[in-house]
Amino acid sequence: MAANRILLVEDDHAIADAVALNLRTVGYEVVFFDDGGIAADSLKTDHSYDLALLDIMLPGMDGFELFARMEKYNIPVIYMTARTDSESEVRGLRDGAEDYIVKPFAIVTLLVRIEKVLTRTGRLNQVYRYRDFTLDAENRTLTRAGEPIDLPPLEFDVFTVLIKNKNRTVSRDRILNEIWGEDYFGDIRTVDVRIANLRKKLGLSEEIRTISKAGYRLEEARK
Amino acid sequence: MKLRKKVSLLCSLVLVLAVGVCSTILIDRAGDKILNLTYANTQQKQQALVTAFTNMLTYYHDELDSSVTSRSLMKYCFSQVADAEAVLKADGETLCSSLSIDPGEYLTPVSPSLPEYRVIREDGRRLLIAGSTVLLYRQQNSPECLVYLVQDITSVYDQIHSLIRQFAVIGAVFIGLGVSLIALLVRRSLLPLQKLQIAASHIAAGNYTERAAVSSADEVGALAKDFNTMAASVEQRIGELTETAERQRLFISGVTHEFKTPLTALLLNVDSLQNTCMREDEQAETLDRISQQSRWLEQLVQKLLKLITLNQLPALKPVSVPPLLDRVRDNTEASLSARGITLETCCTVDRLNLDADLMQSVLVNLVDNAAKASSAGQTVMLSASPEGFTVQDRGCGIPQDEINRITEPFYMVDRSRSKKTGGMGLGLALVKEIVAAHGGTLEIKSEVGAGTTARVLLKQS
Repeated sequence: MAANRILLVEDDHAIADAVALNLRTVGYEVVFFDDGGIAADSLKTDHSYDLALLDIMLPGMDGFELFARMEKYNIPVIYMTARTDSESEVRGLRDGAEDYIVKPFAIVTLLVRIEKVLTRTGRLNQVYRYRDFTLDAENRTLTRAGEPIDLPPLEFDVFTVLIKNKNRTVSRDRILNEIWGEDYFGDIRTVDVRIANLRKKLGLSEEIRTISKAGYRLEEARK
Repeated sequence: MKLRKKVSLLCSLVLVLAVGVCSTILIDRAGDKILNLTYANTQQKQQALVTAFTNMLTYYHDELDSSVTSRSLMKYCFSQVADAEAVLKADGETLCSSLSIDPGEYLTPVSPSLPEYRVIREDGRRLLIAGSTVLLYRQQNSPECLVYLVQDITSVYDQIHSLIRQFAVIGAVFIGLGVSLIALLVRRSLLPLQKLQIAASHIAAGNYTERAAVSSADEVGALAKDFNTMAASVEQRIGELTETAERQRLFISGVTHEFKTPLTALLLNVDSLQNTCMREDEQAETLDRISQQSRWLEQLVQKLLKLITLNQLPALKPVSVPPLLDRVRDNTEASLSARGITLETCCTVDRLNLDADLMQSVLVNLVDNAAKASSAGQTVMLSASPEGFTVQDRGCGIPQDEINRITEPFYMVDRSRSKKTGGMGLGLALVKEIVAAHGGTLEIKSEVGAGTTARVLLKQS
């Protein structure tokens, strides 16, 4: 199964580059345009996107207009804009956009929202790959070079969070939240115990790095 | 109480009073006249009776020698001349009378000449009694003889009363008509005031375009005229205030937006450095973006600061123009030559009254804009004259509907292109503010495809 493809239309390169870099890092495929008109034209030849991230104020064609094109191809849309006035928010959501994220935002927020939208629309690719590991989050299976590996449920969940956020630091809090939900106030050390087990069982003591004061990161050398 | 009611009531009161007093005086006079005529008539009748009676007595007087005979004679004579209303009395004794009353009880005349009279009320009737003494000639010890005439004058009083009733009815009708007329007229003449009040209340409620439609030539008309002038000036001021507030709101929302973009880029890139495992080249790129965005923000702050602090008037003094143009050339040379564009200057004025630093940034800005619009090989013309400065290019021009907006803060004709050429959308707003601070005006004329002419017209001192 191929990675989820995301269309990114944003006229500010400094923002677009950072967003694209992070999306690619965690395993999304990103196609980027800095002009609404050109993006709309490109849809004629290629429209197999799982999600579109649209700025609203765009040269060529604005985000609202672009949204109509996305609808034609059934591409869910998340607006990404500096406009905070409620008018455009209402318009954006009334038109049927899946979500709305206001600049400035944190990458983690964007990643969470993308995942939610993909899940909601049934497009999320639940099969993650890391080196020769393949994790299927839907069927809860983990294989290494085709050989199944049995992990206790909690360890499987922690590894899922890490592999989903491949190459990005995930805080202990976030791991706890992802697994037990936001209302859980458990001992953060339980996470450390699972991580230690995972490192031992999967032989990833180097790759699962501890980032001081931040959390853990599953690293993959990229070319 | 409403003014209309007050004025109507006062006028009606005056009318009622006037009609009442007039009627009373008229009725009084008319009544008097009628009564006097009746009295005179009765007196005449009584006199005629007395004369006839005495003549008859005189005719028979030779045969009178005893008092008895004389009384009989008197009775006889009187009965010959008198009618039923007459009464004859001698020495207090009634000799002849067919009446139920004794007029002697009411009136005791003493004079033989003019008869005296008196009006009495008897059984709801009014009776006029006229009476006088009678002198009996050639007679010693003659009795004191009185002749009365009693007339019923109830009908005269009835007449007067009916007159009063007629007057009352006619008066009431006229008062009624008058009061309605007064109410109508007062209403009509106070209508403009009411219109004025309605207009004022509308304006007070915020409808500043409302005017009073009053055109009378009186004081109310003058008041309405002044009122409308006042309303117009209020409307204008409110309009200006609203416009200023709207401009400021747009400016602030523009500033916010302009800050958000580089801030978002900064935060995202810092976030990436902190949390994302990146190759070395990716890290370098991210750092590069951070430094670019920080510099961009710094410039933005500088320009905004300049724009905001420009409210203080610059110190204008005579400045030699040719060196100013040279400095503009120095400052724009690098960007112009990079685009392959030449700058031509022309100076027909020696000194101008201005702030050299600020005007330099105006001209650098305008020349930069002209260069961005031009294509390689073209020339930008910068000229100075006693009226001010002109920057002319033969570049792509500005669409007509955009010209009025290009001096708005953060307005960019083509956002993506402006960003590539490093524009913030603040340059012309700043130019306009600086020129305005000099008391001058910025005039931009452009034709798509033919080029743009920007003129800085300075105030002539």
